Amino acid sequence: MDIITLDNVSYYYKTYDENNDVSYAVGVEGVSLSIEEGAFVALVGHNGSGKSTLAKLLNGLILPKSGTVTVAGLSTADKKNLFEIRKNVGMVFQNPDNQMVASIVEEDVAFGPENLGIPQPEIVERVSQALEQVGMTEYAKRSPHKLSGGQKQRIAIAGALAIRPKVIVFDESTAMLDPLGRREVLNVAKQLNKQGMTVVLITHFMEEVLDCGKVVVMSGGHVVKIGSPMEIFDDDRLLSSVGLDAPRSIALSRKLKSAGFNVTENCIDAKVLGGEVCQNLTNK
Amino acid sequence: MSKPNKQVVTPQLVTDSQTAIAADNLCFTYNAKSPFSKQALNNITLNIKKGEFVAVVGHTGSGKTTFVQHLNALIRVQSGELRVLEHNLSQKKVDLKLLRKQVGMVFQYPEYQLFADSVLDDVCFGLKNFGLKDKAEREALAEEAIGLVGLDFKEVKNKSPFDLSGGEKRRVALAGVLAMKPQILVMDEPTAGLDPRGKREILSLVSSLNKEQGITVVMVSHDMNEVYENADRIIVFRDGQIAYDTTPRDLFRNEEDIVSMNLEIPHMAKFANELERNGYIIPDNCKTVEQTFEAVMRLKGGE
Repeated sequence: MDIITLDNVSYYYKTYDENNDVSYAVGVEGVSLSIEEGAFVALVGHNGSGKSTLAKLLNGLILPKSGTVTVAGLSTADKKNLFEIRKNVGMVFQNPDNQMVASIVEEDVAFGPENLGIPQPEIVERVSQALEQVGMTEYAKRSPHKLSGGQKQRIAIAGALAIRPKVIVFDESTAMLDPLGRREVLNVAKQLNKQGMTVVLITHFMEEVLDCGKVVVMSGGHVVKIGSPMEIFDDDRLLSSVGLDAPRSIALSRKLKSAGFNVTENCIDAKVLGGEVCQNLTNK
Repeated sequence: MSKPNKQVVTPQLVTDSQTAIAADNLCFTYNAKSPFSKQALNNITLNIKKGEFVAVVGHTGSGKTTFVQHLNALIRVQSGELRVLEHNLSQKKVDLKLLRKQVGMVFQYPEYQLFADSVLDDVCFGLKNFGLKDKAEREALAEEAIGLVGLDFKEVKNKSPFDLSGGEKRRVALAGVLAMKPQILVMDEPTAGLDPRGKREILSLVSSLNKEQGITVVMVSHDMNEVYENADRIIVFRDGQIAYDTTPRDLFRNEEDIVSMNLEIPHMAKFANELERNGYIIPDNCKTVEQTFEAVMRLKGGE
């Protein structure tokens, strides 16, 4: 079953030139897309390709100028639905420091459910469960400001989880983190997906999309390709035209394959690839 | 409680006209003499020559940012000795104005520091601050710097910096630093948050500034693939000390140790290491996908 459907969705940003004349810049245009419940979908594209606009459309932070966005059967265009939709679609943004609202971790995580008017005992339960899901239970009483970037993002994820959404959208949530922090966040995303959560991962680190079921490539506000990670990496011309790179190991394996080497196509592990190349060289 | 080591005898740092940065037993402790004291740098000794492209890497909290902030005296020397170009930063009196003109500092997410109404004003701001009174002269330097970062001066000069794309904003911020004609460029994660194309643009720009203008580059980065391909030399910080100071190829031969520091092995280094273990040699200067591929083809064709 599809949890989110976008039907021919367009969104334009108002811009003003020197004479204060209004013109419109494309955010996204004519996007149709469906996301199945329990899926792990990556949205990739260069800066300004429309990824974040799309993310904001998913929970009604912005509304389509034309077309419809439907979340769990509810259209975002209807104001009455927005409350329900935002409960269903949690969001984690890019900058960990901009998402902290309280001075103690557990209070920060409780902010969402408190806003929903959930009774106190249940909030306590939700908070402790959410912290457990992101592996931050022992930090419940700490100040979020002294945590590392990856830990802060895990708290932000816990905050989203405490609302018990059906979908979590990671809007470049790993972009400002160091490699360790990036791994932390990505592992939590994978773990949540295994437990049945629908995950939408927006990124331009192509290595992060390898474990996704489906990759949506955006450029200039349009969806230019939807496919499995390997189908996307197969399309060299597409990748270079949208300014994305296949991970280096995969790029090398593809070059070697087309030069007649007997190697795994789209090999992400450079060590394995190296081993295979050695066998080719030895047996030549 | 750790105290900064007090030097009894000031060591005599040997520097010559070729030295850009020389540190001897540099130590730094945050919140010294308080219960929260934390030693960030512990006996850092190194020498960087003019024209080098040095990458500084290390896990968050390893001391790399504390170190680079010493280089234009944003952090003053507590103990040990530090010389940058003709300045002795261990002394109390330093010509900060000249130093900061010579050592351009590009912080993380420099585009957050853009503020002026137009690109031109933003790039000129530093020059004005450093006392360049002649407007025409300022604009000429700004034009040169904007050209250097690959933007069209006429097209962008009157635009608001906020109307530019992420990659363009970063280049404007960089132009503001380059307008000062620094001899040393210190950059803290210059490519963080950019898409692959933006990253490539910034890196090739930094590379050409280094190769063609001879600017000494000290670049902090978390991206081992980009460091591997671009730097001549990598300095690895661990717990406030220098764990490695060597060439990219040699550094990543220490796979286990690198991984234990929570750093990644670049794909092409991992590949070359595996070939080496089996007796096939990829030359040390083959670091990109393209170069590695060609090296493998030579191995296949040879003998």
